[in-house]
Amino acid sequence: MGDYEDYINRLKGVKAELDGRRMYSQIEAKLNRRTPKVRLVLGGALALLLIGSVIYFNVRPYFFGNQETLADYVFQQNEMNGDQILNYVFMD
Amino acid sequence: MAELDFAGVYADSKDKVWKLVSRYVFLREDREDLFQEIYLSVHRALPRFRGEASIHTWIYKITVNTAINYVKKQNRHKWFKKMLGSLRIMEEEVQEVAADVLTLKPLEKLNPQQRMILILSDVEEKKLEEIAEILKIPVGTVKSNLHRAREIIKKEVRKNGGL
Repeated sequence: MGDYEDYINRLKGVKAELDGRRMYSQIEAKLNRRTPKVRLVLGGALALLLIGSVIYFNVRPYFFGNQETLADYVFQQNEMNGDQILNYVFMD
Repeated sequence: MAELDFAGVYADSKDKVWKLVSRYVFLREDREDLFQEIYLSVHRALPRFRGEASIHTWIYKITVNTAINYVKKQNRHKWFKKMLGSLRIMEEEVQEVAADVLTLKPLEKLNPQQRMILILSDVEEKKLEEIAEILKIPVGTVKSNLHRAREIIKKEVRKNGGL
């Protein structure tokens, strides 16, 4: 047990200098840098929504035998109507 | 208000927290990093502190649990770096080693929880029940971990000729 007790006594004697002020200012800087959680969550949700909608409208049709995207559908319908709708929007 | 309280809490507890951190991790950079992480957790949790236990006990719990999680995370990073090192993707970093690293080296043989239990029991002289409460584990688990940790350290100390 002697060696072990010596070892524990040496552990008790371990001393490291603490620069309390420097540490405090670094903690404060980290606190000020931190983005509030709500903003992070909202940002993440918005990014997921964007990525999700891109995948839904552009990738999904390829997996269901329909190679056309939503934009294709809009232009096709417009053509079938003799370009009336988009001409109305962009020309008039 | 919380800011003012935090400054006071920091001033009252910093030395005790630093002492435990210095015994638990070995590199200066890690010590400072862990110390800051502990106070970031304290700051985050301070508005929820209801005063059921003393502020010192409360901070001690945060310190112990943050420290264990820190070393667990560090071990995962070490494993990853070692793997990258062996693949020669990344050079292993050389870090500033604390002067007392020889004394602390045998503790590396323990897992993060065993290391903390040994320090709390034999170095900080806490009761087993107290340790169980801090770590939220049964007293029996504390006892068996402590026994195992002591055996490992004894073996290491013997191997290194009493250090």
